[in-house]
Amino acid sequence: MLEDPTHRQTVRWSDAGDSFIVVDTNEFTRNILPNHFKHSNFASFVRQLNKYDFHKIRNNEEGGGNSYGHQTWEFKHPDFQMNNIDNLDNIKRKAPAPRKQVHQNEDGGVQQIEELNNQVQELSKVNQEMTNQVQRLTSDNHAVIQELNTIQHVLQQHEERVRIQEKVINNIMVYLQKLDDGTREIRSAGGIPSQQRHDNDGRPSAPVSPENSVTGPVTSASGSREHLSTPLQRAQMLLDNHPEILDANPALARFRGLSQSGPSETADYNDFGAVSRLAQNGQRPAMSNGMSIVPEDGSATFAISPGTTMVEPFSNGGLGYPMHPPQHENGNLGIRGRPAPGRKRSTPFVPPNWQTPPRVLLVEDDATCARIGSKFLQTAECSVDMASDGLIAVGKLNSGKYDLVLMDIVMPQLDGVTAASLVRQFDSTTPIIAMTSNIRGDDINTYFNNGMNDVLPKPFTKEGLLNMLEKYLSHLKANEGQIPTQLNFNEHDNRIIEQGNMVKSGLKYSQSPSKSPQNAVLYGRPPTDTGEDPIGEPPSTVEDTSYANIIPGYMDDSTAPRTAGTFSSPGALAHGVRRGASEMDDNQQQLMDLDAKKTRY
Amino acid sequence: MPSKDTDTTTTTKETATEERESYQPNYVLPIEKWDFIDYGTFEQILEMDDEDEERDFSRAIVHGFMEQAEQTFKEMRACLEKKDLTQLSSLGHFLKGSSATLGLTNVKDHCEKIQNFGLGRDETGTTNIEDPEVSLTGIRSALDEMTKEYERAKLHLTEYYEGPGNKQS
Repeated sequence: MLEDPTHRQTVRWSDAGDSFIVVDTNEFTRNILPNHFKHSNFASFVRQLNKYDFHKIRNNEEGGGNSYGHQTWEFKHPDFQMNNIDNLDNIKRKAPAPRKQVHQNEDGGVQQIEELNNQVQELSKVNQEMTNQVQRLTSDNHAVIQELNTIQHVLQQHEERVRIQEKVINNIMVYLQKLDDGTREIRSAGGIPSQQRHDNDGRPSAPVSPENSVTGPVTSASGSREHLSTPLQRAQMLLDNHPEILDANPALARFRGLSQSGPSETADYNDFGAVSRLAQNGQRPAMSNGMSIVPEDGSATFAISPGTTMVEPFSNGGLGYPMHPPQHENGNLGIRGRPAPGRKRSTPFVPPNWQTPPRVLLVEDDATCARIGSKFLQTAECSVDMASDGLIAVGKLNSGKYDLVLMDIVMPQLDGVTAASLVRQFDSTTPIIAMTSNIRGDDINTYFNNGMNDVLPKPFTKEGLLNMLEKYLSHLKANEGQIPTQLNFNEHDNRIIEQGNMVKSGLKYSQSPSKSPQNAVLYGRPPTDTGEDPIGEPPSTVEDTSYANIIPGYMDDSTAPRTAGTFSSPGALAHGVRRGASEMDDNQQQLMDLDAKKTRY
Repeated sequence: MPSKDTDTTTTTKETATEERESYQPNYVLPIEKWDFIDYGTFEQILEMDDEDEERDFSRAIVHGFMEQAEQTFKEMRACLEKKDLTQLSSLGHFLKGSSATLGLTNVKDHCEKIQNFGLGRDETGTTNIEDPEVSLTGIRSALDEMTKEYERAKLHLTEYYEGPGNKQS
């Protein structure tokens, strides 16, 4: 078209051939545009040209006017040239708007990416911080666990130390016992009732009672001195062998100081005297009961008739403790408050005030015992799980957590002792209490050697059971800390329960009639049975004996107010009278212990 | 003699079961005269009945024990025939636990004797008995005594639970 000469005056190539010129816009619009476009509008044509990237070449009026005329429009495109048709394909409609948008999008994307990058970085930073924090917490946790382990270790050491203490105390008791035997012999020979005072010679057999007892075993000063010096020396030796105990046991330290300094420090023996007080409370009423003397106020005449066979065993079994008049604050007033025969109810079963119900595993093959045991435990507001033999018990302990295990010994499949030793291989803490009627010394040693913590003799009583709960589950109680319960390894503690219990029932050894049916019976246990627990026997037996001595001392103050009126079994206590002299020591510990136990309920 | 005692035991048991509905004793032994049982121990079980006047818990315990005891008596007789001392000792121990828990001290004492005899010791468990026949004789006598004690206790316990004193209208 541009080459067409007929349009030369309207539209044509420029001279250089690199642009075209609309010479006469009016003519171009009127004659040419309608042939090629649907409109006849020059402005539209120009817009279209612009869209295809044609550029209008500005007329340079200053430069002497346009070479093609004043009304001409010259348009140029790099690829729109007169002799180069091939380049026409390169002439394309511009897409200015879209291209701009793309640019914007790209820019925005970059920004977004940057923002996202920033965010990711921030997040990684936060994540890093959190990881660090977790690591710190983890290490803290490790530290805490280590600390706990340390504490546990310390506790174990402490326990070990307590055990050593028990042993030492026990040995001391043995020597004192021997000493007292000597004293008794001397007194028997003399047969003179007289006041007994501590004679300031540091003799453990004759502690001074703060109350200045008016009656008591008679000690021949000259005779006892010989006996006394030796035990004290040996006790001294024992203590020297275990010096580490002393810092943990002020009483023992005092004891040592006493033995070292000899006279003038006898007052320190009041510690031991205090310990023994409850024991005497136990034995005195028992005696008076056996002798049909029931004092009205409990403080009056517990006069000991010399030569009375009933009395002799007591002075023998005194373990070096003098006979004090009973102390009111120790609650022995309640002792004579025994209900009349035929009482309908015993002391009410008061369940401990648990914070959370203790989980108790009762391992028992005998249906009767299991039923009663679980009922007792339920009444004590424990949650009870049952296992009918040792194998089941081990499985349950392996898979579940319990606060206490009551374990029968003789069972099918797996006996309780083996079960306990198996349990101890993966669980060293859960208290396991042997529940059995086999409570001879060697039996009990077996239980303890296999990781059992205590013995609850059959038939177990609510007192015995509550005692165990008190002893091992005090940490679960809502009001904790009133009664020291860190007392381990005193199976006599339990045995006395049984004895006291049997005492109420067994008629075989009864020798004297009594007012209450319970009083009638003195000792239900065959003498030969207890004969296996002589005094200086295996450490465990004796150490428990000695430990039992300590308990009443601890119990003295904290429980005194509650004891009055609740203690009610003189009959149970009276059985000691029947025992042979050689067994009195053992028995007496149990009496004391029973006394202590009673005060708790 | 052993077989005769076994028969007696069985008969009494059946009778007791039948009597549960119709038994009308003349009196119920006052509790303070209960010499067949350690009332202190038994009372603890009674207390578990709480306020239940039917005494379902202790009743079930007592009846459970009776079945257990009578079954054990039978097994002891059978073991005596077989002269199985080990098993006799085991049975003695078994019944010792539940009788002691119930407070039937006399029964428990005999169980202990049987347990000791079965282990080849004397009845107190202190000295050894070499002759198995002596042990068996000791067990036989203890078992007879124990059966008597048990029957006496059972009579009173049945009175206690089924007698008018505890009967609910």
